[in-house]
Amino acid sequence: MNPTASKPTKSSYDAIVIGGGHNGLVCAAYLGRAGKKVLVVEKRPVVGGAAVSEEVVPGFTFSVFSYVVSLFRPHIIRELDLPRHGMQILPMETTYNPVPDDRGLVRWGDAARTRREIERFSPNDASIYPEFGLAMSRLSRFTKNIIDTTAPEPASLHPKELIKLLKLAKQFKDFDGDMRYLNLKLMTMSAVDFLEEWFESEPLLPAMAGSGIIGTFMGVRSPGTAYVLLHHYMGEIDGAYRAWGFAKGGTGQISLACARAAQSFGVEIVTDVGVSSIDIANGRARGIVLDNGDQVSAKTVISSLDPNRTFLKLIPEGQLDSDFTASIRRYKNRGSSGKVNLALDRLPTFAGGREGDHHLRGDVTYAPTIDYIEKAYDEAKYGQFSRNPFLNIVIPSLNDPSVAPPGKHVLSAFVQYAPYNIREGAENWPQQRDAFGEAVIDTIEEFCPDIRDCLIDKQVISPWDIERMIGLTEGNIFQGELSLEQLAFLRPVAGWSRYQTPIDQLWMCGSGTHPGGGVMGAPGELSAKTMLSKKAV
Amino acid sequence: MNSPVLVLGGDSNGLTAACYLAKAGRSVTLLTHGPLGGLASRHEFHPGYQSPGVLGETSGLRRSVVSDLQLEQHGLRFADNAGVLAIGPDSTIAITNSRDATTESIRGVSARDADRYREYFQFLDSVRAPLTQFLNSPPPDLVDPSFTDIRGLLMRGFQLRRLGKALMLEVLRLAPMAVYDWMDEWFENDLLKAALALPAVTESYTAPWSAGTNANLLAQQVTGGNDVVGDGLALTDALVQAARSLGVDIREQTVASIDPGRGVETTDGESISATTIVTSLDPKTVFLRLLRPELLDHGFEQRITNYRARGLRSQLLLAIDRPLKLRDETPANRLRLVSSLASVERSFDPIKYGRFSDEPSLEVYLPSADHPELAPDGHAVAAVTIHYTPYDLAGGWTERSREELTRLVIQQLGERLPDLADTIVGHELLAPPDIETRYGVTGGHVFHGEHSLDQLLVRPTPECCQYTTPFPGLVLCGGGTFPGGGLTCAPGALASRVVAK
Amino acid sequence: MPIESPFHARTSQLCTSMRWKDWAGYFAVCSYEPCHEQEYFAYRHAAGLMDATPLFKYTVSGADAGRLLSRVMTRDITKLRVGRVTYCCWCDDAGKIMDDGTVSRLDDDVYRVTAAEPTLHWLRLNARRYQVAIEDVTTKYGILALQGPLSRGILGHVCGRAVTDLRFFRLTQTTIDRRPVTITRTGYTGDLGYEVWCDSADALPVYDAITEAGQNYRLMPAGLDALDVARVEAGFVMNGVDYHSSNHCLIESRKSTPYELGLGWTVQLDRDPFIGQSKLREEKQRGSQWSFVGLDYDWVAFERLFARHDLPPQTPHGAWRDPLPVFDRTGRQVGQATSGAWSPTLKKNLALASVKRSHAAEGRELLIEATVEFERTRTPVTVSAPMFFDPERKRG
Repeated sequence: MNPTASKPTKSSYDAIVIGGGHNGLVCAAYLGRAGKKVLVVEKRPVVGGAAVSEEVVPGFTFSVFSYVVSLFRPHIIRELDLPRHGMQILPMETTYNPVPDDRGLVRWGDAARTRREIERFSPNDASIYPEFGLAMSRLSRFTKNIIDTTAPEPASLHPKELIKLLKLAKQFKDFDGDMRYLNLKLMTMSAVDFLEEWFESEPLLPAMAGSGIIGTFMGVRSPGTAYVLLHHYMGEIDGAYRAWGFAKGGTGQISLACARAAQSFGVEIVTDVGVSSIDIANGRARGIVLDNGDQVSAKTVISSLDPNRTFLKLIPEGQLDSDFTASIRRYKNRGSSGKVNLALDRLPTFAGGREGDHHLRGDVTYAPTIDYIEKAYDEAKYGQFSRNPFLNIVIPSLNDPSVAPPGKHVLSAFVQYAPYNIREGAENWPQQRDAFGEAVIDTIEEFCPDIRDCLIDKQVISPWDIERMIGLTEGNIFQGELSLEQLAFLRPVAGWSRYQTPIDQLWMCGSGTHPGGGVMGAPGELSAKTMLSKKAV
Repeated sequence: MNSPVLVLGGDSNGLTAACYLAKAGRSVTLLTHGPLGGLASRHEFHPGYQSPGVLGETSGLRRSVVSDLQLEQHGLRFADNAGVLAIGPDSTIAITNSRDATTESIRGVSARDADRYREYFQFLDSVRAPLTQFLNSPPPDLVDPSFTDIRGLLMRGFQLRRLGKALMLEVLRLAPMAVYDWMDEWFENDLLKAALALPAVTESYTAPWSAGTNANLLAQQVTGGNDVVGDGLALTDALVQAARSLGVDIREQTVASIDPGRGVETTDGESISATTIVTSLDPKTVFLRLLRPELLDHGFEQRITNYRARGLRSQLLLAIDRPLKLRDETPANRLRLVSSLASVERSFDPIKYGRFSDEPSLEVYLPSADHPELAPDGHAVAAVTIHYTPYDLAGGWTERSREELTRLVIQQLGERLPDLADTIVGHELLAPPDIETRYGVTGGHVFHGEHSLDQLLVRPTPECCQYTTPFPGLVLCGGGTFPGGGLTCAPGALASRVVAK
Repeated sequence: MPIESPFHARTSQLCTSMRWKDWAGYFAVCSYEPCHEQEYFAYRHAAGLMDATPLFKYTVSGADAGRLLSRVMTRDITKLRVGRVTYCCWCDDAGKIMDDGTVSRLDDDVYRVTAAEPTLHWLRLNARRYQVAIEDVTTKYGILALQGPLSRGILGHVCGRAVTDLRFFRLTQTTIDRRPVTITRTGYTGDLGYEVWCDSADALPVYDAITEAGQNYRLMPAGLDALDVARVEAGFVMNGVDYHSSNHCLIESRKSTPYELGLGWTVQLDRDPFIGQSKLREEKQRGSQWSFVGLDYDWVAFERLFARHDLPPQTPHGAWRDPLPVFDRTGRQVGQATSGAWSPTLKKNLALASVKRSHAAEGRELLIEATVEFERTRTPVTVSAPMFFDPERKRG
């Protein structure tokens, strides 16, 4: 990426994007590609938002927050030519579920080998496993229709919207009956209820159900989690479903590639520049006011920040009507997860006696039983971080030696649940942070007995830290829960799902808009394309 | 099409369907397993004391059924000021059919909530029409919609849209929500929130923080009306009278197997032939117990098997040796012993691990004022509904676990109804497996299947979601069909229309 | 990584070609020698010994075992007598085929099922209300297929009368080298042949006993490549090649029914309901859309294709599995050939194909795609019954 300035070169632009997260950058790149003069303003010294890689411990590059790639839209990769700008995704082939006092379960790329692994726990589950995968990929094909276009507007009477709705209905009807029913159930059921229609054994059930809770403040038995499960099942790289990967050099490289692509289209990116407010006159956005008091004007202002921050912090009071503000206030953020990144002197020994490290090159999910995850949730519900949390671990240095010194490793643990609102109050997270980190390492110790011997340094991130570091309200990694009442035409607020806001010429492009969170790029892209088609920029 | 009809199931829905069909000129025979009324029927649980049944709440009873079947001529009367008394740790709220009285009662705990309560009902009133229309019509087949279904769906969509764009979107937002969040948007008082939301979360494997529970709350609130005087038992009595007067031939016989299109075999060995069989038994009983497995398609069998009906409530019946006097002067004969939505949530948590809570959420029904016949003179009966208790209790429903639960509940009752504990002279605990056995409902699930969003919209499975089944001549009319369980008589009425066709 | 069959210690010694493939998660020999031809001739003129262990195997036992299998299979298994084996297939609710295999009745309440795909869950899901025990015995047993005209002599040598008297599609439980074995007179070559089931632990002695007895009969270890040619000649459909399990198909058009695959003879409609019955009945009444046929290349025309490039006719080396479109005389596509082979016995170039019923009459001339020197063209074939090779000795 070209060096970024900390001062805009001009005083006026076609468009200003507030926030240099991957969605902001994607949006800017698309606008730049259309020939617009665009400025991206990022508060931190690095771009990327939640998709950043940073050398937190000398020699060790952590994907500080987001750590795997799956949902990034393939057409964005093509249209912005991201591989040319340095994006390279390494495949994640395996899923490993350690179980205390056992070899655990590994799912491999090789179907027969996976079958035999599952057979150890349930011959029945092994037999049905391929069919489940097929059903999910069929379901994903329908949901993909929703993700790759702007949300339908059921309340609109505009013929274009009605046609869009009818098209969706037609796509639904073209599905075969079993799939239609499954799709309906998927939208409302809990991950466990949904999976129990297929599977019976642990650790397969909890391992799969676990992806239904990532980033949400729900348990695997909470209705609505089956959808999140599909959302994660939909991971798609190079058009192949269920293909997860690591960005070479860390997740931040994706943001950097987007930034380089944007720069190649003439987009100007400034870093270390905070925005104090959006300049609004007569209900119309005119530009932004920087933290240092400078004003920069633009025809269009686009916020990639979450709805809460955009509307309640950056917009002077009185500019929005109270109904809208009330809707933003009740929009649920509720961060529920934390992150623990470890710099390791060597690869720790995983219990269970498997040879080699092939099974560790993908993700390692620690959720030995359904009850284990559910108990973790029960604790969190009442304002406590889980003493025995659900862990989703990756060791990217096994695939990508560039992130750690030779022979040394990076272990990155996504931890759930860590509620933002702990009983003691969110602002007391700093006092809880160490205990939280220890609880996570204690849990890792259950299947990695020598983890502490390998430890060089660690980074513990609570949802409160996420909020403080990158501004995500309540530390919610998706810029708002992916619950049904906050999806599609209801995201972030009913009637405002098309990236527009009640303020003229102020637009949104973050994960708080349709189709939601994850390193997907879709909100940024759809927002830019909507603006361009409406000639709003 | 005036062939005779065989109705299986003597509960409110079976009776309703029988009445409608008899009224339409069909000759109807009704077989009932056990006493008429099903879940709203009596049995002696202690010498001289009778149970009022496990379902008593009648506020969802459809007025159209009452008028169609002229139930008021058969003794049914509506109470104009009945309701529920919510008893919290340090306050009470009487939630009755009278909005004004309720608002005043709420004012005792929160002036803000009292005002909000009025607004809350104003909101419900504003969306009531399209929602009740939806809940009182046969459901559209969402999985395999026909032209009629699509037209129906468009109609419903249009009715909803007529509310205006904002209200329509609001309704769409509300349905998938958790009651916790919605109640939180309205009210501040914990007891009020819990008391209002409790019935919406206990019909499924859900608690206040579970997404989708708000759909239940909405459905209950918009269809809720005045209670019947004498509650479930009185409704049963009126329906039975109506059925008899319409010439329904009622027999107390249990069905052993169904041969669709031909007839049934009873447990006493009789074969009864019938080309049309309408049943209010729960879907799992019908398809997985009474039909030979070979008759079911593979997919249909899976779907019925996967239909979730995990009974979560137990009932403790108490025989009391004196008249029961409530602490407050209130017309309510039902109590909800809760503290907050969080306390309801906590009482739900243990069932996930096969246990019951140390602090269950309780509802108490006091039938004696309306039904003195249930207890000896001057004595009373109380029916305590316990939320939540798992069907598959870890270690099983042994004598010990039953005693423990009974002790727990009586102790908890004593905390909020101090006079009660010493007056108990007998009791019976009906755990979910007991409810299953006594009333013949799979899993002991009193609503014939959980009221989760997916199971409400497509109830019980795509092939049976419009009352007809894959088997010609076999029609469902129970709580396992749209719009779900409870003493609403709606499924029975809607299903009978299908048969009449 | 595939795993080793219990016969691996022997087969790996013999497989000098190092030509292996993954068959249902097992290492399986394609051909022991670099070219499969000798192995093919062993099947047809002496005897070939193939390791068929990777087949999925299930034991179904209990009071309702026959009832369950009758519900799942297209055949009425309750009518299968003890000591008999039957070939059948099973379908989903829509009557689309999921897999095919054999069912053996070992005892009153004990059956054994073979399948090409994992089937445990399908049996179990349909058995919820039956009193049965279903066990996956895939790794518990080894299977050797001993096929060819001399196979009776060889097995007679090790087992005596129990085998020499064994009739087509019957089974016997006997011993080889004092080890208990189940022998069925079945196979996938369309020739006289047997399949020997033994406990995995007994695999090597059983293998050795048979090979030793086979020495005087020119018994050869034979691999999958030779088998593939033999089964094309016999017109046997193969799951994953000539059809696809309906539960693995993303789209409807990939699915087939037993009638469309020429397996209508395994469908017994008039009995208690079974899975797929109503749809199969409808299809039977209505007639199928597709027919499974054999295609016999017009040799003269085939020769001429190559002659244009001054080449001698090049017959395929072994069996092929990449589908080729089939056209009518006007050039409209009417189906696809799914596998084929040059038959060294019949001296014919053959293919198995699914074609529209309207074009499936025996003797009908169709065109099949052929590529010669990167030039794509069409060459005439004649429709025939798929069973090209059916010797008397197979049944006799």
